[in-house]
Amino acid sequence: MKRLIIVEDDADILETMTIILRNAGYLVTGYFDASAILKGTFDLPDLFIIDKQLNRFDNLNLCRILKTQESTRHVPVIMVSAGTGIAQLAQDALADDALEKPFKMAELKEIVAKHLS
Amino acid sequence: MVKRGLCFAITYTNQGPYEIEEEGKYVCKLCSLGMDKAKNSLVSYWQENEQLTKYFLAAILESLQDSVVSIDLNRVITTWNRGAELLYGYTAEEAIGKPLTLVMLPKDVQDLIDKVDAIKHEVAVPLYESVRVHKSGKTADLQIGLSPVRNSEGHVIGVSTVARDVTEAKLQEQLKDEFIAVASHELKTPITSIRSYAELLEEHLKNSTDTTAFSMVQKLNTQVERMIELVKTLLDTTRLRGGEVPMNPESLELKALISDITESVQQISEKHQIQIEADSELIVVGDKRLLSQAITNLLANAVKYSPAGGKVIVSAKKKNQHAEISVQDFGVGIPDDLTNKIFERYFRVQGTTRSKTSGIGLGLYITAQIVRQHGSEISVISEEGVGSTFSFLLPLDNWDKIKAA
Repeated sequence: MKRLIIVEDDADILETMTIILRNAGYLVTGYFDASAILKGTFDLPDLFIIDKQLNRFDNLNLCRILKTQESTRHVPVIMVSAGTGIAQLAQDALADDALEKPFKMAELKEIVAKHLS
Repeated sequence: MVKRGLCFAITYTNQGPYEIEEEGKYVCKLCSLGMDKAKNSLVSYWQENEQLTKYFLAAILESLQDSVVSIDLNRVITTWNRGAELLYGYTAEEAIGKPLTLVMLPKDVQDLIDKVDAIKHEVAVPLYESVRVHKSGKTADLQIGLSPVRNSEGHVIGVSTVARDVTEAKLQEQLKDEFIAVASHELKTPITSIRSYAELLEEHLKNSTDTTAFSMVQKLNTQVERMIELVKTLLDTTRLRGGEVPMNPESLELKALISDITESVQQISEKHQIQIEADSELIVVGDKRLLSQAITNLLANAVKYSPAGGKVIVSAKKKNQHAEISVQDFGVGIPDDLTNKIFERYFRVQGTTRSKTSGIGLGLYITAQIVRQHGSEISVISEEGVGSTFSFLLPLDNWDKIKAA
């Protein structure tokens, strides 16, 4: 079973994403903030889904760290944001893909499947 | 020359004539004063003393807050009112006899030459915005209107320029845009979870025996989609205004593009038959998402404003080196005097049929902006009760090939 980590500070969005992706057959771990990721106290997943903006902390930096450090650089990262320019920002931060809010359930499942196939 | 401090007292006698006094002394009678629309120039009709016409007009010009400057056909300043002194910082004595470029940015000079030339050749110049430079070096955004100055034979001998500082108004617009951008961005977060919960609920109820609940959640989803479209529209208007929407130009075959769009719009209404009349092999270069949005808006409007149902025609036809894309409906139409206004932001035609239709007056504004981003202009022909046709031209990318065939 593929393992996903979602970092998202909105509890309801985290809940719905978790349900959608669990229903799709993934093992999902959710975090409200980036501290566990920054400390490295997490089990390495097959994919990260990270909300761009967490309590004023810009997670594009987190993405850049994940995509450059040896232990996680091979793990795909999808950046999620309500901002319209997320595709370009995510690309600049070395993310593998980007998803704009509000996304459809099908779009979320599709983008995850694309990077885990 | 302009006489400073000239002051008239006017006695209004029912419908005129107006009695004019200067410093308490009776001077003359004025029958009427106004714009002669046919000649598009200031004219006045006096019963007496022609010299006083000039004084009277000069006094009006002096009292205006707007800057009124006239130039000759070589763009040399010939008159300069108080409003101009306030706006540009130069006195009339400093400005008269100098070229108007005194208060302009070098990059705008050619544009002025072209506009003066147009007026010389009796071509009307619509109101436009430009930047002017104050004596202090500070710049201001101005809205400028140009009109011809004629001699007694009616020949154009110069141009009058009426300018108004719109810096503050533009700042207000910008603040409004920023507010809309922030508000719609903030709305996207709750909408994300509403959409997901509603979709999960719909999936959950799909196989349930509770058909009422299932149908309700389906309606909920439809409304959520509408709300998302609305938020996107609001964001698009602020971004299009700010020129922030990046263009991704690609080759597009119009017939295929129009067929795809028609299919999705047709789903909105069973009462309407959307008919495609498209020449084959018309290739244009454009942004697929933006052009689709423009044509979708036109089609959605055509459906919306022909409430009785019926035919809507969307066409793409070769017109010399261009493709003409048009959308025609046979609906309520647009009153004559409003055809220019419908492309303005938040503008909605008032009226019984129209006030029943929903909307915030952004569809046509966005469409016009998109067409403009593609280097073209949208136009409309409409008659109340008969219908409307919106159209725009795009240059054909495969013109050489079509020409050779």
